[in-house]
Amino acid sequence: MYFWKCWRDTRVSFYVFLFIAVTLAAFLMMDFTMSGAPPKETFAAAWMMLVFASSTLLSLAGISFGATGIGEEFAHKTASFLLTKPRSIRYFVWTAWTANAVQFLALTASMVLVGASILSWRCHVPVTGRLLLAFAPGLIMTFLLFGVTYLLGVLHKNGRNGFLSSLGVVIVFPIICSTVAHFWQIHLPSPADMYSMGMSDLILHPELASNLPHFWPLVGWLLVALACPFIAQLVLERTEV
Amino acid sequence: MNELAIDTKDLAKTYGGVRAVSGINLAVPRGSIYGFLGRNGAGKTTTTKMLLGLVRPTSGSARVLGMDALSEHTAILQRTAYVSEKKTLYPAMTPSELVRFSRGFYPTWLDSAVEKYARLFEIPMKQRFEALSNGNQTKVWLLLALCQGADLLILDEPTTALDPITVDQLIHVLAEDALDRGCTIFLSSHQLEEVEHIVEYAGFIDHGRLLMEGRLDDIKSEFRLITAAGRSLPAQTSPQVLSVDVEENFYRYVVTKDAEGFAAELSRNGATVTSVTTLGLREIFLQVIGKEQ
Repeated sequence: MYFWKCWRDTRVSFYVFLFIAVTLAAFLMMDFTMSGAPPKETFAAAWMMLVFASSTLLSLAGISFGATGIGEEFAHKTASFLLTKPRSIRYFVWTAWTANAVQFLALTASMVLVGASILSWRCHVPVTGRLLLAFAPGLIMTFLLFGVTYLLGVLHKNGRNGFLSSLGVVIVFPIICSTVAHFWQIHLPSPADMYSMGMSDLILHPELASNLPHFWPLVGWLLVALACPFIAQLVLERTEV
Repeated sequence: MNELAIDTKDLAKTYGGVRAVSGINLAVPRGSIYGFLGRNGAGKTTTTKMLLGLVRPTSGSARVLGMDALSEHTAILQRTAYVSEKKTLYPAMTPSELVRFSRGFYPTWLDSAVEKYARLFEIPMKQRFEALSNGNQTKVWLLLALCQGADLLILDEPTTALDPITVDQLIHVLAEDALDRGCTIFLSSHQLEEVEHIVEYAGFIDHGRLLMEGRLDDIKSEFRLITAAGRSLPAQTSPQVLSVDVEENFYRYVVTKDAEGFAAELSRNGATVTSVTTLGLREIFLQVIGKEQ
């Protein structure tokens, strides 16, 4: 029912993202493995490139899908139809979360499958569970952005405004973090803390690619990502239609 | 078992200091058709939404099908079908898809009724909702509500944008199919002529206050239009005389309570009472609202 509706709302975007994900993964891996570098170094760098590409793509999907939540029902004046169905607000919020989470996992899996297949074939290096963990920060970032967009959509009672506000957060938050760090030498927690290395490190030290993501920031941001739909639920339970 | 399908006690709602609904006491008997009648902005929709748990009352309480409207609203929604004042649904879905979406929520869903009402109301089931005419959009709402197999139908302005033939069909469906199943129908409307033929009970609401409630026949029996001819007859309103229209020597009195006594008094004053007739729902409504203003 509602799960089907959530899928129906995002399926076109999902197919577009899936196409981009598969194409991008294939293109990046083929491009990297064509270079004359030794297979092991090529593998590490290509793997991390795949991780960053999937993080970026999934983050876009997270923001985009988050805008299709209940906030949009208020904007389209369909909230009185949906919310007179005999289900709790909790059901609607977490069903939407689950439907979208499945799509994010499918997108990640498609990139991993395509990327890992090409890399294993070209570099003869097996993909281990440890390497798969490198995708965790990207997924959590996606859930975070989905949750923030969903929550802002509920607060605005408009998914599109939630989307724009969320984009604002994505742009402004890193600026605030770097400003505070620059002028007051205070490190604000940022989702970037989840990654064991940045893009610049990857270029200089590709051997670091197999480092695990940072555990506590991972857990912390996962909790924040889960808190957003929970807050949206609490807000909706107090919202009048 | 509670004999009232809807029972409110001093139900009130205030928006930023403005009283949308002022302590109304509704008593809607089970298995009846109740007309909740009022002008635009009278407080009908706010009251309806409080019954469904979509709006929280500022004070007072409401019980629907014997359950508390706030704490048990999910259980109420399981047995209640609702047609909203705003007939908006998912624009990209077809009526067939909306049926598919809705049916899973209700174990009492009547699959056989879908085809029947789709044919009766001539709904194009494969056309996107946004491409339907306003009338057809309203019909889709009605179809979804009627197929739910609910014990209570709450219809907020259900005849919006409907042509007279469809209104007639709807009245027929409500009066026969829904009532046959023992369903209670709570009909909120300002289209008095349309609902007059089917409502059994009526409540008049204006400025958030319930001005009058009761069995429609009882309400009608309270009001009389007396036409009299004569010179210098009383032309003032009073608690008994709601209005007086004077045209030369002809007087039209709308009287509540003891119309016969009033007519006899007119005759004693030398008037010729030409008729004492009952009033239609519309006239009564206008008199009641006019009196309050």
